[in-house]
Amino acid sequence: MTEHKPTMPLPETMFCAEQIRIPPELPNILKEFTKAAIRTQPHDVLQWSAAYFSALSKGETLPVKERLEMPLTIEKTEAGLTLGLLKVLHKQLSPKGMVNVAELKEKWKHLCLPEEQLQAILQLDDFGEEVEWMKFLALGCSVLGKSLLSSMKHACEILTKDPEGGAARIPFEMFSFLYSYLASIDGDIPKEEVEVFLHKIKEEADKQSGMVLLRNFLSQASTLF
Amino acid sequence: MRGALAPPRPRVAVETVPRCARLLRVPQSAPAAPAMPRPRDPEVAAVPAVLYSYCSLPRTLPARPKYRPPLDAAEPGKEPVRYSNLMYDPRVVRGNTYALEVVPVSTPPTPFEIQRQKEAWKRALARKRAKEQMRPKAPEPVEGREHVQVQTELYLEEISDRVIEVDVECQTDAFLDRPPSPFFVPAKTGKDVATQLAGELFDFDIEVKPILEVLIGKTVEQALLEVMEEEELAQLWAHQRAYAELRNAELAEVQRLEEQDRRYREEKERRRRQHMQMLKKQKETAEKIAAQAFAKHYLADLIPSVFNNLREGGFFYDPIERDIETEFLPWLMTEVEEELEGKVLARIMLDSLIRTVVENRLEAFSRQPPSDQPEAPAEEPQPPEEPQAAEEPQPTEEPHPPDEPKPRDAEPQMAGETDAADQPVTEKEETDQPVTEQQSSQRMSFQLELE
Repeated sequence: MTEHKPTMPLPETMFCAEQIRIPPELPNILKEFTKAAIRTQPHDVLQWSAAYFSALSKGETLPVKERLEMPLTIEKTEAGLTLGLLKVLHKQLSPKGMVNVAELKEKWKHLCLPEEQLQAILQLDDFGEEVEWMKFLALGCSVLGKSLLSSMKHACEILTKDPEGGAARIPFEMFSFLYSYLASIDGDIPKEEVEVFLHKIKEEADKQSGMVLLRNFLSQASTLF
Repeated sequence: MRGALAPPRPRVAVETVPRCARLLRVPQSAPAAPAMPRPRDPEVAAVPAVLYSYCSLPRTLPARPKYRPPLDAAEPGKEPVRYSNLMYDPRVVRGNTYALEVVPVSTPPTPFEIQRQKEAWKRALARKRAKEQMRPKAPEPVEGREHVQVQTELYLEEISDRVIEVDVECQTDAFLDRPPSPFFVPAKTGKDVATQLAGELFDFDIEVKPILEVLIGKTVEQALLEVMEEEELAQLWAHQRAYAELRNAELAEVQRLEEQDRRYREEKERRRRQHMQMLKKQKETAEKIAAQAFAKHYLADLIPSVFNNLREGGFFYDPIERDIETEFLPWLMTEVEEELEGKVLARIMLDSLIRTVVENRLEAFSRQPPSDQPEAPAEEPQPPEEPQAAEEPQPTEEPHPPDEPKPRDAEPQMAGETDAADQPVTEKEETDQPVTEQQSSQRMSFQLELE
């Protein structure tokens, strides 16, 4: 019979089960980890767990979704970017204005997202080594949404400080920046239309202390009703 | 024989007068009361002779002090009076009232009562003595013998009234705590056997398995639960907020519509009011015009009529004409009158002259013919008449002859005279107009006709 020593160095050998000592913080850590895992639903649990614990140990923002996202479509082997994941990325990367592409790739990988999608996004606009996060966010939203307005909706939902479900408000400047950027990327929409639209939005925003609401530019503001 | 029986309790000498009677009695002893002031009822002295009086007036009794006042107490009675509860007063009689042993009212008895009590006492004593004497006794001892009290029991007993008492005390020990039960050690049974292992008994993996199971299982389960709960809660919140948002949107829309509606209504109201005002103004203007036209028409004739009236009233007068009329013509008339009067006077003078001449002539002529005499008296009243007729001033505009035909002068003689006078008149008054001559002649002829 092999002598199996427990992982922790013991002053004496153990004789009974009662002597096994569990570190007091362990249950909590495990619980948090489990909850995060359940919420995030990573495709590659190990990869993601590694990312989670490394972020935790470094004290960075954790790659955890805030809310449990039910998969809308039939799961493919590796599903792509979702709103929640984009939010996670935003949470992690938005404090830095300009993001290194390598770092972006790393974070992308941590979330078990397909690399091709990242490449596709990056190709939409010419980026160098550094990527402006807002632009990337806008592009990500455009991937999520079918139309310009729906992308704007996603962007609002990601960027807003309001609690979920309420009017996702963002400042008008942000809105106009994103909108004009996307319009420029899109290329189909003429500039005058953009101007007109933005002007109209601005009028409404002025009444709402400079904030743009979802219902200002959407006919149906909420997906819940 | 046992000890003597306890003597019967002496009956307390009850006062002879029952209590109620005492109550009803008119207090004859009342005058005596002030002499010896009763501390208990000082009010009795003040009670007048009424049908009902109390020996002691009902009053609340002060509490009896528990302890006697100390010897060196201050003036008694200066302390505040403490009243006790009647129910807890030991002095209050309790119990049934039908078999009450009444403590006699210890009023200081009067000498009469004292005497009566003494007598009663004596009588009772006498009665007792008599009773004792009545009691059957053993016969007297025969002569030479003596009665002796002897005990016949086996053992002599000391008889005394005093009972021998012995005091005995007894005390238990102090209680001790119950000592703890001794440890139960069952008797040893069985045989002792020993063995020895070569290696480790403890297998960590196996031992840790249950712990791990619990740990991991519970963790996962708990995590799942918590996630579900949080999820549900977040979902609810999101739902609620979305609904609130929708509602806000709708409210904003409603407000906007209301605003719009209000604005429309206001606008409409304003327009309507404006229109009403315009109509009103139009109507006023039309009325004004009509009034003006009517007034104009009505008053068109005013000025000419006014002027006419004024002209008829004589307001517009030519001052020269007026002047002439008011001053000149009257003056002229007066002058003409004077002139005419003068002329008339002249005529009259002439007439009278002619008359006198004619009269003289006639007189001259009548002296001769006597037939002329009736004419003379007729002539005489005439001259006074004619001068009267002549002297009457007759202001006329046209130069009429002053002597108007008087029907009184119906004198045929006149005709002759006047005829005669006429001729000289016509001869002399050439200035007279021929009209006057003709008129006077006409007048004459008229007179003649009248006659």
